[in-house]
Amino acid sequence: MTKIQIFQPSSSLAKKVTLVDDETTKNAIKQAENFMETQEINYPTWLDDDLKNLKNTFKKINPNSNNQPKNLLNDIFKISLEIKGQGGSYGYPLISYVADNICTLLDSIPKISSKDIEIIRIHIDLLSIIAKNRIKDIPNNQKTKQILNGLDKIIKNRIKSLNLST
Amino acid sequence: MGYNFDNITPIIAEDNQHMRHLIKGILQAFGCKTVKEASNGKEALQIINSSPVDILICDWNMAPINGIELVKEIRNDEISPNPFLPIIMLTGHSQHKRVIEARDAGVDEFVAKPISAKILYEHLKSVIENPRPYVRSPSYFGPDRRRKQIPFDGEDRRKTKPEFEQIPTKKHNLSKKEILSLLQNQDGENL
Repeated sequence: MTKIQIFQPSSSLAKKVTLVDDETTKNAIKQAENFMETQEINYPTWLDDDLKNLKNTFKKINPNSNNQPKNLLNDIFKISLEIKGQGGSYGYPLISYVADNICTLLDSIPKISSKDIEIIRIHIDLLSIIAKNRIKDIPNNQKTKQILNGLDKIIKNRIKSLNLST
Repeated sequence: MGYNFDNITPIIAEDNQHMRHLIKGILQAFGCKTVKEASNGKEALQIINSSPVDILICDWNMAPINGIELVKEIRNDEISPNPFLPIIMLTGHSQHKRVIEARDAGVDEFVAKPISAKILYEHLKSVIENPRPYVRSPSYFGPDRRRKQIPFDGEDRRKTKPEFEQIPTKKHNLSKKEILSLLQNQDGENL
């Protein structure tokens, strides 16, 4: 019979904190948000560097090959993941939204084809446009909705066509 | 109600210096007087092994020693100074399989980037208010992963077709509720 132990360790964290009222909590969160806003000013430069890195890595890919080097795909995934993580954190949620599509595709499909490479290229181009125009928020208009919904569908259908799930 | 974090010493393990600086600033705004930093899992282990820390906030992709390896070392290494250290994984990964992998490594909380101050605060609060029992089995040591019935008054996204209005939470990403469910989503046989 498998031996399984379940126990409740004493929480050192709970012993070290003290309760504060809602107003103090709101102020602490607001102070953190204010700090985050002060960091936004530097983000476009970092984004440009990341995008340059992403484009340079993507250039090494042969767009017509169905047998891409794993290290290159890994690098594209990692850079896209960084961009996704930083974008919204620094006030650029649209950047995160688009970069996430690249991550989802690369993280879901075991063998990347030339079709996938084209999908990635479209997303990198879109990231460049967003970065160039310093578009921070996700524009709340019909055309943007259609574009982003279209990109989502491309990713979803591609994954679905291979009988994979995210 | 919330908490004063003055006496909490977190450690951030994150390879991106800008993100590390951002998280540190958020934690300081929450009241943390001392915030320790590591740029990879190896550095984090050295700090954790040599000085007391109360909670780890770690990224996934780092080298040497990535976030998953780091969590496993803390939970399972015989000389680990604190196998019960609360761990929040803060990562760009948000896919189902990644949450499962982090859960099976032994994380307490999983937060998908991009981050917000409010979400990070909520997860810190959750670690304090809802400490999970620990489980030791031949194949796992860490917070209990079994499913718990948690009341949820929001929309059940499994029953509705996701619409565009959910931006920036996309249909192939997991909601906070879904991540929480996955972290506690196993029955007894896989404790």
